Amino acid sequence: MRKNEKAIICLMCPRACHTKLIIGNRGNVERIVGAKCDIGKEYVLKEYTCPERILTTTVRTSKFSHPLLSVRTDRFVPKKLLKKCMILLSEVKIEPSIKIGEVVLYNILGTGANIIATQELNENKVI
Amino acid sequence: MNFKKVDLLIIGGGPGGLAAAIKAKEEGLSNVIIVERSEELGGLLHQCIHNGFGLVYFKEDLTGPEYGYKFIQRVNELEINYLLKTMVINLTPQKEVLAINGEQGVIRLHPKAIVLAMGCRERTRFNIHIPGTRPAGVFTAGTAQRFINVEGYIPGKEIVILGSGDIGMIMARRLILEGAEVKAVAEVLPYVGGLIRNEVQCLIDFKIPLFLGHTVVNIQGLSRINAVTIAKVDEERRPVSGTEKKIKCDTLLLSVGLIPENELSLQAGIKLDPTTGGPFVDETMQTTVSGIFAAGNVVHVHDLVDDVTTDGELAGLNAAKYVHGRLYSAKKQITVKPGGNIRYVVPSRISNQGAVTLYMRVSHPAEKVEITVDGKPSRQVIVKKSFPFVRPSETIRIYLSEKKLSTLDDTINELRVNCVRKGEKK
Repeated sequence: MRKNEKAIICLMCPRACHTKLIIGNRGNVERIVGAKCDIGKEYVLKEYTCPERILTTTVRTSKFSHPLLSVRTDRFVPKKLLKKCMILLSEVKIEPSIKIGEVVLYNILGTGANIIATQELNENKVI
Repeated sequence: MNFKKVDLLIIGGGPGGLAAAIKAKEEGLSNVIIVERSEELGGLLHQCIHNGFGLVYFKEDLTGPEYGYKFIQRVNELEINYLLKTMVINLTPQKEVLAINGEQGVIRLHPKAIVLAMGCRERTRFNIHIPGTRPAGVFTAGTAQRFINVEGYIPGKEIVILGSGDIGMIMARRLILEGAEVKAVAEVLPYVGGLIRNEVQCLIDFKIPLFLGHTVVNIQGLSRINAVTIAKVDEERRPVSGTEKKIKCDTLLLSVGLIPENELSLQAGIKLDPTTGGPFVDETMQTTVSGIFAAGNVVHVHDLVDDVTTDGELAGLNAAKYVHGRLYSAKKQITVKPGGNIRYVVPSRISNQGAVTLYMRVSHPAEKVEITVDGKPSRQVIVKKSFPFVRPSETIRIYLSEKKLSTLDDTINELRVNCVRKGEKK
């Protein structure tokens, strides 16, 4: 059977190596070509098997003058769950006050990641 | 607040202005005041809700609001005065300032020193002359960012983005996550304008079609935009006929560059660098007018807010020294000029009183290069540094240590920065 290839750009440093993964018959990675360091090899392997991202977005607030509060996940979540997280967060509406770093939603979609506020929302003002 | 006895006025409460104010206050200036035209301190950081801020300065991966919060907290701790919703409308070379707001009306200030930290603004459709009708639905990427992240409106559902700068790519991802469809990103250059990280995580992650070497040649629609036409461009950036492609859309976002905001600087008679659009500064961040300093994107457009903070601290420190009468003014200054494949260098002159970091951008991408700093007229090589690659989107820093600079011979009155292929002659 013909071997597959998967191109991944490494983001571990500004050099941004264009790597190539040689994929075996059972989807296993047989070889990584073009990664110039071990950190890069580890990264592209992870990018192939289960790519993860920090999600940054907003949730609604009940406050007229500041209708949105910016939030993020406090750890990486699988890339394929980003859209599902967004749909879930579109239902969330929060009341002031909330402090920066405070958890808005625990363990989103069972990922272990919490959604935390990246702004403060006070009765009077957002800092 | 006594407006008559201001030591230092900071114009602009974004990251550059905040850092300058904090540093100046820490250096012992008692009467520091920030004048900010919007409703809160922090500048653009509020709307930049993505992460990637602070990796250099704090060694932490923060979002824009988190990064700004740290500095706003510090401003409050130090009890630095600030005026919000207040706009400086006039500035003279003698540092007389006229500001206005809705509460106090006209405010006159005469500070001993000023830090300009007005930042930059986006280039619009009219800066780049896109033909077509003038319908609603054409936004700069930053305006759309404010709508989506702060105001809570989505500008449209079928989006085309012109320009692959970082804001444009980040907005592409943001729009997709908020449920819109991004039909294309067109970039006039043959390479992506922003960071590779953003190309991967904003465009490739979401399979957004990227058209390099393309531009928008027509905007259609009467009350609302309903389509754009994109076309390939040749080396002179002229559209190639026969390559046009019509794309239906209800929104066009423009991420086509930023311009330092220097109307006040011009009023004060400050000389601007035509390449950067910002004031010529020396290594203390002083402009060509004594006692007026500048920091951040008002000087040149930075890639990272971390560098804006560092700039601001430098300007604040030296403004404090100036007020205390401790900023030594050199009799002889050495000019710093861009040479081959260097678009610009900041600062543009140094007085050789200590270490200096030169910030520069190349004109076009290159691999396996050396960047050299040569003294003129004696052709003394001061620094030679190798780079595996250079890109116009990434600022290059060259550190000139005090020791290196002390070896300069007396005849040298100019430093020339060149970027050459390894092994090639200049």
